[in-house]
Order: sequence, then C-alpha cells, then structure tokens
Amino acid sequence: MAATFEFREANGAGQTITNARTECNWKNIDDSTTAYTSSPITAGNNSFEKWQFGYLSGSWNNISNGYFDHTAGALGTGLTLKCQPSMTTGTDKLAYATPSTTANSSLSKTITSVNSSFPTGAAVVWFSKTSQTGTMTSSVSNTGTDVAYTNYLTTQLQTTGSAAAGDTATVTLTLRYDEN
Amino acid sequence: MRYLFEAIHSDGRKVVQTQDDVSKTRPTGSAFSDVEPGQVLWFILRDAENGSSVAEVDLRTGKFTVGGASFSVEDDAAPLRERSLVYFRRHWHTLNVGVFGEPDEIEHRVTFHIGYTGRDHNGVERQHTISIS
Repeated sequence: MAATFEFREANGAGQTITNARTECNWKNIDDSTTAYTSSPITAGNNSFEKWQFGYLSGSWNNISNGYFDHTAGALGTGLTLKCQPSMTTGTDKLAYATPSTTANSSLSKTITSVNSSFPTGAAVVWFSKTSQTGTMTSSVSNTGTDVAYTNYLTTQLQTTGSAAAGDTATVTLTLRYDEN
Repeated sequence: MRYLFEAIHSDGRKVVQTQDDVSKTRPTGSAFSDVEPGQVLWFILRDAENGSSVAEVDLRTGKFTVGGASFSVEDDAAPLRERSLVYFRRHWHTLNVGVFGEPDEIEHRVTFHIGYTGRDHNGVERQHTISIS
C-alpha cells in the first residue's frame, strides 16, 4: 500500500493519542472531540495547547525536508499564535506536557503573521521512526517495516483583553515534506 | 498517484512503479526503494491513467524531456559528471483552522520532482530538478 499520512493528537496527562485528526481548532478544553464553539477562549486567556504531529505509514523509502507554518489567514488584534521551535538538533523536539492554558514558553516560535515566503522562515520539522518524541533526524529512511512520525507540531493561541469576541478568521497551517 | 515512474538502470534492470507503490525487495518499502539512483540511465514519469510520458530525464546527458521537447539546464561547455537520479514527491498538508462543523484538513497537494545531482568541473555537487504538478 502506498504511503499514507494522518495528523494525530495527544491529550490529557496520559498523552492519549487520537488518530486521523482533521481539525486543529484552538479552544478552552483539552480534547479532540468538543466543538470549539462549546468551549470558546475568553479574551485575555489562552487556548489549551494543541499537541499534534504527523504520522506516516504504508510503503515509503525516505522522508525529509519537513516544514510547518501559518501560511494564510490573518489573525486579529490581541491574538498571538505560538508553535514549537524549529528543529536544528535532536534536543529541540518538545517533550509532551499535559496541555494547559498557561502560556507555554517552550513554544518559542511566533507564527501570528502569515508566512508568504513559506518554507523560508518556517519551523523546520524532523522525523523519527519510533514516536513523536523519539530520536529525531532531518530525514529518515525505511529499513524494514517502519512508520515515521514528525516531531510535535504544537500550537497555542494566546489572547489579550483586546481580542474581539466571536470566531477568529480562518487560519491555514501547512505541513510540507518530501517523500519517495 | 497521478504519475508513476519507470527507472531504467545501466544493467538493463527496469523498476516500474504501480499504484500500490510497493518494493519487490523490502516489506514496506516503496517502489523507489528498488531504484539505485547512481545506476539509473533514464527516468520517466508517466501519466497513471494513459501511460503517456509526462516528463523524462536522461542521466547520461542531463537532458529533460517534457511534452516531447528536450532541454538542458547545464552549461554545454562544462557538463556535470557522475550524475545520480533525484526523485521525490513533495507533500503539502493544509489545515484550515476555525471552520465550524467542517473538517479542517482541506487539502493534500503533491508535486513530483525529477532530476539529478552531479559534480561540476571543480568537483562541487550541483542539483538540477524540475517539478510537475
């Protein structure tokens, strides 16, 4: 079977994984099920972090050249979008922490503005064949019955009191990688 | 996949990718796992529906062929040597965040990249690739 990809998400103290995630809505609850409209963020507070990562299975040979960033959709006043730092060494990967609304200082990359030069300036993404927190390298090769994970692509929407009520503008996040 | 490849090696061996994209030698490897980039003479990307050639690269000369037209991106006076095949699919997974009631992942886009690396007259490695959407 050809290579297949899905986003996955971790929630709770036990790093409970939900597969095949197709949404990344920032909200005032740590789960993969509640609609964001049922758990809105109050202005002046932050969202729970979204601990998502990419998972590749099926048949593949090599994966490399990963990038992640905010690529379309302007965020309004009082909104700051943070994500994990760029991978430059294996130790840059984020270790999972129980999601909270406290501003996560480990999310040191600010991606509030649209990166119209993507992937220039984007967060570099690395890969592991063991887990989303395993040993990471900039490229991985399939040596047997391997699967591949990206490092955590963690995001948090941080707000101030000047953030407008209601839905944010639709924001586009992009993950890019090469595979053969 | 929209395009499937065919790789012809210097020993006559041919690797032909199918939609299953499975290696003949490695359990979960893709078809490209069976390709030896340094031994490929000719690499063809074919339309998966009708089998017609979409793009080709001749590793012996460095020439690309697209739509029946051949061209080179090298300096005729100083061609690269030791050409080795480059092939990958570039994936974009796009999430649109904040669309109530709808799945956010709205797009998975793939472009196909073929080309080669080679050494110039100073021994410096160069890479030439083209991308097909």
